[in-house]
Amino acid sequence: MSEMDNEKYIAIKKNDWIIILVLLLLPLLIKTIYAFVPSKEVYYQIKHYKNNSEIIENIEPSKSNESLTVQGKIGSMIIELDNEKGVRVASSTCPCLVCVNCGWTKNEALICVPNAVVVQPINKTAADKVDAITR
Amino acid sequence: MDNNTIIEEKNKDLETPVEELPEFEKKRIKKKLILSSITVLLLVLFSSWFYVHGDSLFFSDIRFLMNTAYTIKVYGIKGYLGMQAAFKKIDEIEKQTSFYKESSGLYTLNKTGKYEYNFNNKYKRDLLREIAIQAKFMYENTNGYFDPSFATLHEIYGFHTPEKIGRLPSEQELEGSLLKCGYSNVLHINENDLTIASGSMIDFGGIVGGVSIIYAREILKAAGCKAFLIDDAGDIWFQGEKPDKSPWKVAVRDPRDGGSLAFIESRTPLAISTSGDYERYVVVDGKRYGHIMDPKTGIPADYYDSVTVVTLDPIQSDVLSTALFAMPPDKAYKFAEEKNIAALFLDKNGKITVTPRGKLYFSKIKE
Repeated sequence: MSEMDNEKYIAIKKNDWIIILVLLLLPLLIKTIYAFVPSKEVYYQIKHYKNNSEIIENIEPSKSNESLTVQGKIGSMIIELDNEKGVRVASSTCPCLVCVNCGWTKNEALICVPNAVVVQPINKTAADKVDAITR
Repeated sequence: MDNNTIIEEKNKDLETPVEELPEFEKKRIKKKLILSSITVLLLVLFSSWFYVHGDSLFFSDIRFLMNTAYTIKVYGIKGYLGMQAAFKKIDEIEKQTSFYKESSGLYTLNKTGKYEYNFNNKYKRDLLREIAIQAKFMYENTNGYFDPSFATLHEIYGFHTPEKIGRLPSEQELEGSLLKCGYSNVLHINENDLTIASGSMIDFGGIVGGVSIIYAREILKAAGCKAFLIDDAGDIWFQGEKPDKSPWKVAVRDPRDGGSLAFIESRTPLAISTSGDYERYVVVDGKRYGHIMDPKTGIPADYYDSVTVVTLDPIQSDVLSTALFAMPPDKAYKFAEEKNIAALFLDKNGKITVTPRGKLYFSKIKE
């Protein structure tokens, strides 16, 4: 290997400096992007089962005013989303139907214990945001 | 070659100047130095960020444990690690105290009438024995309105069927079952075992939530978690200062419309529990019967829609909300006032009553 080749191989080139700079500025860049691009303020996090494995899905507001079927441990459930009312479990295969009886909610997690399904409304700007609900 | 010539040659060797590193080698070292410096700088930056913001990281998880949904919310990486250990412990507690799981000590007690303590563990303690002692203390201090032996009554109302198909027992059946209730009379806490009267059953469901919160709390504290909230399906404990310095805020659910009856805001640790008949019940001829029994009549208590209690101890709040729910209104309010309990009652007519101590904790109470 000639000296020229070695030099070509080892020298810090302009591109290296760009990568280093990007690495150093990356956290700042991400923070800036987050500051300017508004994140979804309201969405629904649904923890349910698909092919016997637990999955977490985020349903965004653009998909509101719709109903979707999710699979629980013992059967399926129909979840309804509404821009005005929030979210509710419209029907469930569980025997106790506690989740259905909870009705519409905008800030409370709907939990179906027999189906092991959780529907959690995430509202980042709600004035009445609470850490927990005793019931 | 003579000796002098040899010496001269050797000296000449020694005088040879050290050969300079080739240019490319120097550059390689320079590059390595720069890259190492940048790595160290990034590490320092990350560590500083982590030092400043590490405790602000928020983690939350819901697990299906204790026959319900169990939520833990924590701040900080230490909290996250503690949360995993706490869930593991709650799972262990469930395995020992479950009413339904055949492997549990409680199941053995109900099935065979006897449970032998197991001290073969790190702490040389038996969890079921400790819960039995705590439950006895609470049974005596609530004049029998908290009674784990109500499981005997649950049986005749059909609460233990998987489909929750209820039935109304006959008067004779009710009288017979009431004779098998009375925790202190039917459960015997012996030196080496627990024994139970024939035909009686015990369910620690009304106290084990509070017990599990205490275990989870101690694990999170030991892990170094500075701010956390534990929520066993509405039995809540919180402590520590949140990173944004705001107080913890808990809503009391209005069972009639799903809204909020009141709020509890606090920066100091509190235990909050609510008892109601809208989650565990059986339906007979279209009428709903809740799982909390009035010990004097053996009939499901039907005085309130919900009772919420705020205390400084998770076991007390868990048990007292159940006991107050089972008491007739005149007794319940007097009992809460005398014992200086912070409680909020929502009666069947929608009337909200708050005890004097409750006024210190409940705010924005629904009109």
